[in-house]
Amino acid sequence: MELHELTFSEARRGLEEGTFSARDLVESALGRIEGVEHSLNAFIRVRERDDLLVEAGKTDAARARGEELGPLAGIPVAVKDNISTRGLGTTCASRILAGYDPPYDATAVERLRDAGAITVGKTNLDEFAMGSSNEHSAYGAVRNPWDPGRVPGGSSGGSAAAVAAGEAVLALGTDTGGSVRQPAGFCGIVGVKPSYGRVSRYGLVAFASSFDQIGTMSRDVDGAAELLAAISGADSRDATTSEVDVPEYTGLVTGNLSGVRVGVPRESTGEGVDPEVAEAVLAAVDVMRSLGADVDELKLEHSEHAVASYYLVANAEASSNLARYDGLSYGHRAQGADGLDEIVVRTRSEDFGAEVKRRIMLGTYALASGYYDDYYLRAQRVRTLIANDFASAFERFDVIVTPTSPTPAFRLREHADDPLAMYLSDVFTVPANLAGIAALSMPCGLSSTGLPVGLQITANRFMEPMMFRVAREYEAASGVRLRVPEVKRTERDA
Amino acid sequence: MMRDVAIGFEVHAQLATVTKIFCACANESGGAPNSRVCPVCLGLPGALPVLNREAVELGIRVALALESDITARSSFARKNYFYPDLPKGYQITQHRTTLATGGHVDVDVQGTRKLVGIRDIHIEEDAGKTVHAPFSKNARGSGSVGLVDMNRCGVPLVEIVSEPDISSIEEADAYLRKLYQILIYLGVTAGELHRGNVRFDTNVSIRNAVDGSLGTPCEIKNLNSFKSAGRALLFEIERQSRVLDAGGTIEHETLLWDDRAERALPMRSKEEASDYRYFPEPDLGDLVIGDDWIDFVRRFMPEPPDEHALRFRNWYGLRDDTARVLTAEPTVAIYFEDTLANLLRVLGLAPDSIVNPASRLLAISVEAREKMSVVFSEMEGISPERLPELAEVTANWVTVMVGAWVNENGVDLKTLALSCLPAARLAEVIAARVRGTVNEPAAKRLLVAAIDSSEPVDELLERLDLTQVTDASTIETLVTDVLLLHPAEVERLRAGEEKLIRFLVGQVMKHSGGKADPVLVGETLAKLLGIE
Repeated sequence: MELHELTFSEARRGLEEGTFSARDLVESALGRIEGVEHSLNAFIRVRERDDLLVEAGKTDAARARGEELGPLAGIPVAVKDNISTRGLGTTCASRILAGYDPPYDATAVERLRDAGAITVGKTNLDEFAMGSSNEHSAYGAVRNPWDPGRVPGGSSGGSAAAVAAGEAVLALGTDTGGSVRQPAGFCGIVGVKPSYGRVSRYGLVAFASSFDQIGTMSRDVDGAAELLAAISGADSRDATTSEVDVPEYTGLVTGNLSGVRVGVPRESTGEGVDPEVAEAVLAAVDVMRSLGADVDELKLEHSEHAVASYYLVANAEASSNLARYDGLSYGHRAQGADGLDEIVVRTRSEDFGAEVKRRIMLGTYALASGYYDDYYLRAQRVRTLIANDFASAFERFDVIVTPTSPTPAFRLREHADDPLAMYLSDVFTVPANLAGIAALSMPCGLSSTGLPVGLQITANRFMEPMMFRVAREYEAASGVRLRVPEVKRTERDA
Repeated sequence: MMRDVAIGFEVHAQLATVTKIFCACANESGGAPNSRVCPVCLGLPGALPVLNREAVELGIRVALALESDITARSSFARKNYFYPDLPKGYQITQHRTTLATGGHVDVDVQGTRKLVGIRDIHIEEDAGKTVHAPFSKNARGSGSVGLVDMNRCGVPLVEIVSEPDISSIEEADAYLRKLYQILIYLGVTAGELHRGNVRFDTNVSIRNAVDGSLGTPCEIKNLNSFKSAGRALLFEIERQSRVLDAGGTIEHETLLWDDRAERALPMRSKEEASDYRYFPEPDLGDLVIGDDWIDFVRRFMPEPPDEHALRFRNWYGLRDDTARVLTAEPTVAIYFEDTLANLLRVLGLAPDSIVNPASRLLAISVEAREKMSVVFSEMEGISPERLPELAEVTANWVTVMVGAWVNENGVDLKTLALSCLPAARLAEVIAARVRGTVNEPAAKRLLVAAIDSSEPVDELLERLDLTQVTDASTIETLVTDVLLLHPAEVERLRAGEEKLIRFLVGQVMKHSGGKADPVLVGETLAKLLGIE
């Protein structure tokens, strides 16, 4: 087995036991990047090889001296390029932020460093995290490592592809409506969206502030859990973080889920869900049942309105959050523009992509005088109803299990002319963002065409330990941990 | 034709907090452009606001002083608009629910009391400043370039919105001055108008003469002084009147006041009215203000001017007009109160522990007032008439004698009180006069000497030989000498030319080098001349 194929737990054990060094691990990640990036395009920027090796060497030296090391010491981590990193640039995959280098690190990045992780580079995404396919990037589409003719999902498609292909052991993504879980599902890895307020958003470039959360990605449950533990907790720089203590997220596998109440919404396996996906999810539920879990059906009354509610509120917030990009103080400015109005209009017209502009316009409309009550306010009311649905569901259940997406990864440009079809693929992921609760996606098998199927496990707000417990037991009992796929060499289009 | 008008104001005051409203940058003025900025107030991608509690507390002070209802749970909102000095593309303010609602400002308009209602009070962030700087040479020739200074971004503001209750320019002026006085008194703002610490927007509408309904209001922004507010109102009332006189109708407009040109020019009209697309600020939670917090603020809150004046009347028996003069500015009021306390101490009427109660205890907080009232209740040996008398004397010294010196020398009172003439020193000067150690003209000389030198007051009295002559036999000798020197005047006085008594008193005073007690001199003259 090659080093890049190791899961987080295996890599950490190897480092602790001295089987290999952090330098070896970084070398293997860099080697893999060299081998597959041409096909995948997962990274926007990879750090200088020498810098990475020096940093890894320091970890190795500290370990050799017997110093106490952080929980992620020497582990190569990829960071989505909408999370601010000082000196590494942060583009949000947008032309408008070309050349922008933040003067500060995001809190999550500081905590990553404190935990000893080695940031290998910044990953590609849908521009400003707006998309479910990673096709909307000024740096080109990301390809799915399982089939480069397909999308890796989005918006954290670069992070998902990088972890799935072994270019990094762990990655940070961001999840506003499913942007960690859906690509994790498409790429066959574990992706966690923590409860709202669990991880500081300071330094995360805002898309939709009341939904955005930084999430974690790994090829095993413990990696995602350990990475989440490292970045979680209150932050005086983010007023929306919670003071609730951060408990243990990792634990031992017991082979026992007795007493755990698992709810399966009817629509999980209903209309619009690919039969293979439904089958894989039901099989996963059977595994849970065999571990002693109490499984029952459940109805979430208002979930059919989730996607509409989500896109109204998220786009409204986005229209305001993206107003600051005017080409005046930082980032890219339209060439040859003269005068204030021309600079701003041309910069925003030329440097935002079509999807971003579409959402700014939809969001502006939803907030406009005369429409606010009918759109923004009504959507917020639906959001409250959905949160209430979950609140009562979690009186009866500990976790709720659904597919992450109705289908496995779709083909590149499959939804290019139909943004609505793309939006509807978020049907299972957006409710957790609307309600601010915790959810993860993990692989539950491969389709007949060899594509990963994602299983979503949702738990109540700040009930991440329960979510991880079910995931860990399922992971161990099912044996579904996907290998690192061979990445077929393809020529990317420009 | 004279028309009835309805005027309302939005008053913005920069709050004198230590740091900005949503970040840790210093809230100061001056300094190099863009020197007090950070990712948060620059609105850099990913930066988030965190509310400064001190800004809320200063806002609560204003709400308490205006007797507004403080909202238990209010929220922040984004006001979206584009301007280069607004780096996020929106201003964080309060919209649907505000810090406080209701309340009033008690205004005195030429002796008539008027209550101007307050609609709401909210807190928000200030924007930066755009500066147009000329440049001379570049590829496109000369012109001007727009520069942005973000130092002011995130400076906390309190906005006080009045009802359109004001019905004349005089009332408007009185309202603005009273509200300004309250803000200064509360210590919530530095209040320097020329620096834009306090800014006014006004809205004006003309009442229909027939049915009394209000016409369409127009808004005038950018008023930076009381004077410009008055001029702008006059301009706008005349403009609207002309339109109506000519049979026209008033269209809603937002005008920008140009102080130099003394006119208001339209910023935007209804058709191009800005849609601010307000929505709840998702980066900040609700602002929850419980009774505990309000009580805490109240305890350490300076006394608003009306209460201050009332307390001066109740405690010291001051006349209403004296109390109002003293409380026009907190500096004067504090100096007066310290001086009076010191005077009572010097005269042995108050315990030695009283030194500068007002400034030392920050007088002004409820706690300090309670402490002071305890001390005053323990004062012994002072008759009910004596305290008001001494208080009026002290008030006269502070406002007239010291006031005159301050005006002549162009020094502000606060500086004087903190340097050459602390309240305790002034009290000794006053005590010398009250005790009769010096007469009135000598007291004035003593005051100037006390400001000019650092010698103890009793040494000054001696060195300058200012002590009043009150010895009856010395005065009799002086009077006798003067009578002998002026036989003609004595003769005329005896013949009934009574005004000559003043001439003779003057001559005695002159003869004594200004030191004789003028009252005693008058009495002695009368006695020796045998006149009543």
